[in-house]
Amino acid sequence: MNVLECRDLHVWFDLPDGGQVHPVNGVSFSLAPSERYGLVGESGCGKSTTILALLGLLPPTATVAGSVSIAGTEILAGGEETVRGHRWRDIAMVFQGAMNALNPVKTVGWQIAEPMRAHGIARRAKARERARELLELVGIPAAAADRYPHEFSGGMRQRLSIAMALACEPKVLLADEPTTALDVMVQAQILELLTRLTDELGMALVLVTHDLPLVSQFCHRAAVMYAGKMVEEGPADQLSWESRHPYTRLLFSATPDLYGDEPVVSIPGAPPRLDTAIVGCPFRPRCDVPMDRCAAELPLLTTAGPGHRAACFRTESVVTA
Amino acid sequence: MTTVAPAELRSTGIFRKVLREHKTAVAGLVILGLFVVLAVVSPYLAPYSITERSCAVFEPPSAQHWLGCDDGGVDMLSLLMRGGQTSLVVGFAATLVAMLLGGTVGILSGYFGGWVDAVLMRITDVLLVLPDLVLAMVIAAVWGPSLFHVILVIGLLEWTTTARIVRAEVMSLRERAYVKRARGLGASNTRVIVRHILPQAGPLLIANTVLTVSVAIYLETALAFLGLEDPSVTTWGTILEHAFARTAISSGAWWAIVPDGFVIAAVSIGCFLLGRAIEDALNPRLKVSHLSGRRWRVRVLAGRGADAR
Amino acid sequence: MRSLDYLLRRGVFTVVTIFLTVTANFFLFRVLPGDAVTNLSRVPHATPELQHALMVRFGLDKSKWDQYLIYLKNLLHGDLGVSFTYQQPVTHLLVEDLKNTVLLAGVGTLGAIVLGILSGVIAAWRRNSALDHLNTGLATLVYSFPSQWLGLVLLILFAGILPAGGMSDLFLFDSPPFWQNIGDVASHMVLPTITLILTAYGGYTLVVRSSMLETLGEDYVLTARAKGLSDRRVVWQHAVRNAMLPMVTMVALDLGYVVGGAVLIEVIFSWPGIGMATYTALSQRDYPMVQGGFLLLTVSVILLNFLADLVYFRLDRRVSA
Repeated sequence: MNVLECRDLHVWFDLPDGGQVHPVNGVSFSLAPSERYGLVGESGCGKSTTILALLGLLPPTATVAGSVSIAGTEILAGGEETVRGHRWRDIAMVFQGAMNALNPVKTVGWQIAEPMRAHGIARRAKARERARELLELVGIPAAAADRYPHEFSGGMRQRLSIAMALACEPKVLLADEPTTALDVMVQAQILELLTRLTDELGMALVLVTHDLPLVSQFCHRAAVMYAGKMVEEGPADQLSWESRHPYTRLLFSATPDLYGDEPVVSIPGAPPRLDTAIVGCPFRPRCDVPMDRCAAELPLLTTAGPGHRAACFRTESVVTA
Repeated sequence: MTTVAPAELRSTGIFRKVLREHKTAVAGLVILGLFVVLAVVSPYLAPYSITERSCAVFEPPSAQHWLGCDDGGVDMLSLLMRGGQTSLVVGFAATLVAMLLGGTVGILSGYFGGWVDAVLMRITDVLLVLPDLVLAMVIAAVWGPSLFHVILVIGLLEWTTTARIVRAEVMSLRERAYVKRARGLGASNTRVIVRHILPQAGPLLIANTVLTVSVAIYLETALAFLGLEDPSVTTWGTILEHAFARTAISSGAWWAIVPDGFVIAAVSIGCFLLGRAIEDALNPRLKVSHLSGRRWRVRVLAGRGADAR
Repeated sequence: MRSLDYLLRRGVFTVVTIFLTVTANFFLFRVLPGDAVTNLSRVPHATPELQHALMVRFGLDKSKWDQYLIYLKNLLHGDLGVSFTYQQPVTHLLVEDLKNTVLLAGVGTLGAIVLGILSGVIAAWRRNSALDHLNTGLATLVYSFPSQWLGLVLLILFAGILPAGGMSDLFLFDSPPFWQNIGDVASHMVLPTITLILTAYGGYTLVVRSSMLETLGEDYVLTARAKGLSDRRVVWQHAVRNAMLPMVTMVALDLGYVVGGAVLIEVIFSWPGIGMATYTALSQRDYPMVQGGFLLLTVSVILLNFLADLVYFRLDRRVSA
């Protein structure tokens, strides 16, 4: 049974002048246990907002629609009060740039143990002990529990964030660019850690990133987002070698083969504004193989192969420029 | 949090921006303007003379005397108006002294750097630590009670924040291309200071000045209350001092006390609103709060496939 | 070591400032024309014995520089001279007064800090709501009234209900029972303490609010929320703990203002503290007392500032590593 089911997720933000933006526009996907799922796209495509919405971590200016369920239980429809009970216990998050994600005036042991105490999973002594176990699990000596975040390097802080996220044994872990600010060696270590954790604990992982080679190597499946919509989804290696959407193809061809910290670039033009409704395919202005049909009709996600969908009218055959 | 680079904003542009975006600034400006106008016209507008009796001792408010009278049978409203004029003059004069002193120190410190800066900044640090009122008390006591002394004392104690601000601006501006260019062309130090540096530091200085005015007025009332000001002069401070010393409370004459505090508070608030608004405009806070009393909303979309929720 | 360096610098600064204050004290009263302390013709009730004693004490027949050295030597022995009015050592008289001032100022400042934190935190948490505007507006308003006026208004309101002045109504013979003593002092303390709280809390509210708003935008607050913690927990355990640091600085900066307020309040309520003593001494031209009071008040503030530096040092983990 799928551990996460997200169906037709929408997010709107109110603008100060009265309008609205629509950064997440009908996103659907599901996760199986131990699955590693990548979410890629340019800055502003809505991937970060999507995973924040899964946890209900939205500002008061937000409106949400759709269904998110963990192991069959709907968590989003009840609003902040309902989703709060599920946070960290069913679904947890590792934030971008762990530099500031940890409270500077509390020891790391305390911070890892805190959600256990708050959710009533363990009392003080037991929680502390478990916190130490988690530190060891991510490769940090248990004695470090009494230290403060600023005493750790960037890579170790990321491990701390992971240990903290595991505190309540969530079924799903969301990771927002967990390795972006780290050097290549440390990146590899973190990824290896995450691989081990998902395989051994049965935990599903959503990895938001714009590092495409990373996705091909590390994720089982991945999805590409554009202008708030999911434009392609499938097995991670197929996305790079057998893209069915022009955007995906252009994305992956813009990236060098080896690991690098290059931002994804080189598609001319810019993503569309999200405060007005878009007619037709949102990618059309930048597409290299547009058709007349694309201007008036919105392509929906259709099957392009086993476990592989794409939202493009050219999906029948592999598209080449 | 980002700081708007000074080079991008011209002085006049900032004021228009502040007034447009911050209603509080407008409110502050209006309040202050009102009091300044009142202060100027008070000799003509005050209903009674403040040197002659026009009512009974501690006469309560009535139709002829809206705010009653003090212990000397002088109309309270007139006292407040004429007193306001003097208080505001003292406030502005003291602030002027503080600004000139602080501005000079700041410019010298920021422009020349090195040991000049070190010495001046240490002096600033020391002065910041010392308690204002206690120092003022003692200096005024030794000097003797007079309005002039009070103005000087306040000015001598309140220049430090101005100096810090000016110094910071000068240091950041000193390195900018156009200043270097001007110096390269042979402009003297004075010329550079006046033509290039002062205008840019202007808005922040104005904000600081406005806030210093309220501090000056507060100190004036405190010194007057402690008997360190010429008692024959009428200021908002001496009005309170007279009320206290001449048993207004036991006589139940609240009108000799209460309105005085309100006018002082009004001017303070006006200064505060305006000063803060300018400071905020120059250093906009862009941070979002991750916590709020209000919540995000859930919308139910109808007719969207089998799982309409 | 970074930490020792900081303490050393602040320590040296404190010592130097005290020294400058001491010197300024001498300068103001002894060097300026109209030497206030030792101009014997100015001394009220100057009997020949007193005059002779003063001559010896202050070395009036010696040069100014020698007098300065004698002054410093006397200071090191805790000798602040002899009061003209009471014909007793100033130090002895002021130590009693110091206790009373510490009582009033201590309780008052504490109350102001607590009230300031409460209203500042609430205002920031419910930013831009009615609660925020109420708290912030009230704080600004009360802060704008001069302290002496606040005291006078309280007197008007409560004269007859609460004692209007002094510290105690009990006569000193027949030593009254301990609790009656405490109760009596407490009832005398109510009005002046409330006045001091009102004087200071407004400034604290505004700084706490400002500091909290900064903190509430930090990543670790979002993390705390993501952990499923209640709002109250997020505010008090994560936000407030971090917002505290600027508060210490703020308390230190405001010390001068609070002491000034305390002086005015002591005068209004005839509270027998140093402020009151200095004020009385001023009107009686008892210059040794004025000098002593000034010195004690100023040095206290300087030392308290240093204490604040120590507290800050202890609180900021990053500095004390």
